[in-house]
Order: sequence, then C-alpha cells, then structure tokens
Amino acid sequence: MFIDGRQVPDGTVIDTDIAIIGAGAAGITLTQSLADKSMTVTLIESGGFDFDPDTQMLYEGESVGVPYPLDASRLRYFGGSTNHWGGWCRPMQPIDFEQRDWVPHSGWPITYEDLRPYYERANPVVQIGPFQYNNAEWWSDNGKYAPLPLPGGEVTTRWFEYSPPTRFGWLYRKAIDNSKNVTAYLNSNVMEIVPTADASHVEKLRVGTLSGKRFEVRSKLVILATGGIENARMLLLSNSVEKKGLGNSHDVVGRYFMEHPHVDRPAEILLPDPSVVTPYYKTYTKLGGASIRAVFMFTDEYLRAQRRLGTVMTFYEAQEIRTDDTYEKADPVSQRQLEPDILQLMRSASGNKSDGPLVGKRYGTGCATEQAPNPMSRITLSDKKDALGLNQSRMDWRLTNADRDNLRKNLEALARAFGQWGEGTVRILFKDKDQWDEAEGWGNHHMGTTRMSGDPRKGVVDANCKVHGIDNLYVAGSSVFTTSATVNPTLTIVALALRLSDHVQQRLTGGA
Amino acid sequence: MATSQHDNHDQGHGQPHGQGHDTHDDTPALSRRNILILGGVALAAAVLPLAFPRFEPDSRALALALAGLFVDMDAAARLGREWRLKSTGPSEPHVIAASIGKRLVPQGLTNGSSSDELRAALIARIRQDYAANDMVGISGWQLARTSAELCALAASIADDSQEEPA
Repeated sequence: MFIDGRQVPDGTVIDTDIAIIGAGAAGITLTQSLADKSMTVTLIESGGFDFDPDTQMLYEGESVGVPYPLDASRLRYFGGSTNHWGGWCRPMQPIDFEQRDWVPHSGWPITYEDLRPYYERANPVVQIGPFQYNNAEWWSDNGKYAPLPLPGGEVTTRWFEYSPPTRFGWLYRKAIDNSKNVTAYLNSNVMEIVPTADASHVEKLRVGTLSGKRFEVRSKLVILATGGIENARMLLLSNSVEKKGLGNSHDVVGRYFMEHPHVDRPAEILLPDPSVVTPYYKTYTKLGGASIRAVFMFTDEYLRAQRRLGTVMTFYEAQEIRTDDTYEKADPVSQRQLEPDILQLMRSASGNKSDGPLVGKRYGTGCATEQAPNPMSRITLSDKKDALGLNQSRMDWRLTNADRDNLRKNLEALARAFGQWGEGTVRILFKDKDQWDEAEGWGNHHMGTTRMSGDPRKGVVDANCKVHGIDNLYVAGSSVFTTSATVNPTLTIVALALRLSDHVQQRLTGGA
Repeated sequence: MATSQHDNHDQGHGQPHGQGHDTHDDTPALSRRNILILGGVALAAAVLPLAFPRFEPDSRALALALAGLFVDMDAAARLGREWRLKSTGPSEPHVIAASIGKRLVPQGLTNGSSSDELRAALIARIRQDYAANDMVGISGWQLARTSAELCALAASIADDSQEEPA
C-alpha cells in the first residue's frame, strides 16, 4: 500500500517492525525481499512516483573539492537513482574485499565468498542472465568467439552483463503495493533519526513533507538506504543527542567518499587486423542468455605484484586508418597523421603488407578506475539549508596523485600486453601530470561514507551493516563499501541488501 | 642455427654484397637507392660480430637488411624523426644498426641468418622489450625500444639519402 505523506495528519505516530528510509535500489530490494513476511515494513521515500523539481532540490549542496554535481548525479523519487541507471552489472572480485597492504584503509570485514550467494540472487533482481562473469567459454557461442589472447599475465578479459536497465520504481511498484505487510509513504522525508538519551537505540524517525506535515515513525529496526551521499548526511543531521551525529563517535561518518573516476579515451589502440576482435568487446552483445560486453581488467597477480588498484577498460571501434587519408595540416596535438605509420611499422615487423591503402583500425577506450580510500575525501554538513531547514551536504571529493599514477601505470600494462601480443599498439592519451584538475568524469557512484569495518574506529557499520554502537540502526547501499573496486556498484548494492534482509529477518523472527 | 658468438665469428666470411670485415673501406653508402635495390633481397649473412666495434662493416649490412624489412620506409622514417625530437642517440645508420644488432643476438641472430630469421629475432626482441617494460613514447604511442630504434634507423637512412650529392 502506498500513502502520500502529505495526507498523513500532523502528529501521527506510525509503529512498525522495520522502517526502511529510501526507495532506491537498496531500499526497494530490501522491501521486496521482506514482502509478505511475518513483520510489518514501512518504506519512507522523499519523492513521489515521478520526478519533482522541488523534491530534487533537496539534493543540492556544496562541492568544494574535485567539482562534483551533487544534484544531477542522483534522483530523488521512487526508484531513486535506478531511474537513470545505465544497467552495467558485475560483481567485485575476491581481491577487492581483501586487506591489500599497498592500499591503506582497505579490507572489508566480509569476503567475496560471504557475498557470492547474494550476488547470484541479485542477478534476477536486476533482470540479468547467468552468473558467468569471468567465463570465456560461456560467452564463446560454441567456440565462435574468444577473448584477445593478450600475453604477459597482466591484462585479462572479463564480462559485464547489462540490466535492461531495471527501473526499480516501475518494476517493483505493483508488488510493493500489493504486499500485505508493506506500507510505503511517499513525499515523506526523514528529517532526523532520533535515538534514546544514551544514543544506543533509535527511538523514532522524525518525518516531514515539503507541504509542512510532520509525523513520526517508531520502529524496532531502522534501515537507512538513501544513497552514498545522503546516508552520511542523514547520520550527521541526526545530532539532537549526539552532537557529532549518529554513529560518529570516531569521526568516520562522511569520510572516505569514493567515486570511480571515469576517463574518456585514456588510450587508443591501433590494430592492423580488426578481424581478431570479437564483437562482444565493441558494444552490447546478446549472447548466452544475456546482454554482455567484454572489458579489459587487470589480473590479481599483476595487482599484487605491482601493488596497483584496478581499472576497467572498454574498447570500441573508432575509425579505419588508410595510407591515402589526407591530412591537410599535420596536427601536432592529435598526430593522427602518424597513425598509418604506426600500423605500417607493425606490419613491417610481422611482414604482413596490406593489399591496399587500408592498413588497420583505430579503437577508442574508456575507463573507470579505482580510487584509494582517503579519509580526507568526505561529506560534511554545509551551513546552507534546504527547504526542510536541514543542512545541505558539503562534498570535498579528493583524488590524489597516487590515484592518477595508478591509472597511468595500468595503461602502461595495457600497452605491454598489446605489444607482447604483437597485434596492436597502444597510445596513452591520459595526461602525465600531477593533478585531477580537468573534468575527467565520474560514474555517479557514491561510495564509502559509512564504510564497513569490524573496528568502530575505522568504520561506521559492522559486517552486518549495523551501525556501531546503535543496536537497531542499519545502513544499506554503496556508502557501506570499504573499498570501491572498479565495477559499477548496483549489483553489489543489491547483493548486500539481500544479505541484510536475511540478517534482519533472522534477527526479528529467529529464522521462523 | 648457431647460438654462440664464437660460432657467429666463424661464419663471418663469404657474405653477400661485399661487406665482410676486410672490406670496410669499400662499403657502399647506405643510400635510399641502395635500400630500394636491396629491400627485397633476402639477408644471407652480414650481422655476425655485432658485439665488437671492429666489425662495424657488418652493422652496415645489418642496416641494409633491417631496412629491407620495412613495408613502408617513409612511414618508419617519419616516426623516427618524431622520436629523435625528444631523444638523444646516434644518427649514423650503421651505429644505430649495431645497437639494434646487439639486441637481436640473444634472440638467435647469426651471421647466416636469413631475412625470415632476422624478422623472427626482431619480433622476439620487440616482445621482450614490452615484457621488460622497455617502451618509448612517440606522441603517446608506446613502442618497444627496438621498434623505435628501427624507426630512427629509417630516418637516418632517409636523411642521409637526402644529403647525398646528385
């Protein structure tokens, strides 16, 4: 059942077993998995079923670090940011959960194996195919396709699966509406999570609407699922008892904000023989019961030996290169006029002279790269207030020279791989400089601000996503990521939400 | 295939093109014309004692043989000029060829290597360069150092040719 919060009488107190704040990928997954169970669930969503500018404006805030669009990078209505999600799905790798001694602040309190069954359950939630992300044979179409045989053991091919993409707000709306134990309040903003006097237990949620209505929700368990920025903001705003905010006795809330820096065309690749490239690299390909795309990633062996963080690289056809192309004026920046020369040089080595002026093809690349956890990269509260009178977010996204150098080194590894193969030459276009001062892009992936750690001094939530020191408050979503890995976060958000769902059911019912 | 330098040395006679180590003064200039003439000719020998400067004439033969591998020498020369803008190194073809030759000896290049064997040694060396991260950047393209030296060789031959009197 859905209720418009603007129709709820002032002063109403709603009692429930589980309150879920936020109806995005995490909140809706949780709600769906708890539907028709023997407990009452209250879902509280700031927006309605459609985009509303006034509600969206509640996302406005300050950006004082690497420029970041706090408003445009997320959506505040039913379905959350899945309403503009691109649909890229891939689980993290086992190494991503490990404590890597070359990555400060790394190491989740759970392993890939802990999450693996939930990843498998997450696949159908986002409407994708088989759990075969690293299986070349599965995607070979009976031996027809094979990944590029890049030697050297540093670069490997792995696969993404594409969700349609699932618009959670549309796909699961009817089921939520029909669930006997779920009540969803729309246009309802949690303004504060109010704890008991000793701040060890959430007593109630203070809820308000833009129309001025105020009511309360009292719940046995509370799950905060408002997104990677807003989760931290909500805890910081909940400061009527704990002045530094809930769960923030060690000043960790809001810190370690991570994104996936996205760099368009960090490298290009020239291949004399484009026929060697399996189509699944170049675009979305329907194969093996899924829509997939192959990407280049870096092997665990390489990451360990070279002490690197990961990068995902896409690869796409850009242009045929011909010796009879005319270059009216040699461009000293693009140096496109040298492309036929590079291809001819490769052909010289192999003795493979072209039959005509067509000598090869240029491929473009794109990449998303892992940012090292950085406590100085953080969300705090701004002095500016939103329409509800709540402090806006203040984002100070920090990227370091080390993050930049890491990507550069990974691109060099890509060049080594193609060079050893002998069928391609990589051109590195990523600028060799010491600042991220250009608009190099991001993925709208907000991670790490309520990070998971077994140690309350190093994390906000424990391995069960429960806030340290508060017995009935949980956090769902990418804000709990300890490290960001390189892959899009939605599948992991859904997997963690399914795991949390199992945990809270067990806690409330003892598994009954 | 011979594998030791001693074996190589013993095969240092009877080379084609009159470029044995006792014919230093008669070595033809590495002109563009020579390259064009010789480009399609299989390399029969001439690259024996690459590690020893006194066999410099052999490096001239090697330069010819390497130049014969280019499917487009002008293209390689353009890359070589780009590289030379940002690097220091020898400009004489036979010196560059000697440097390349030293790199190819461990790959099995011998005095009697054929053109195909030279190419195989070259490919192996280029792959080894990449594996060893011995790359150079030419306008961002990551070339094996051996490939870059080949380009420098092409550039030096082409430029020498332009300086020849008519």
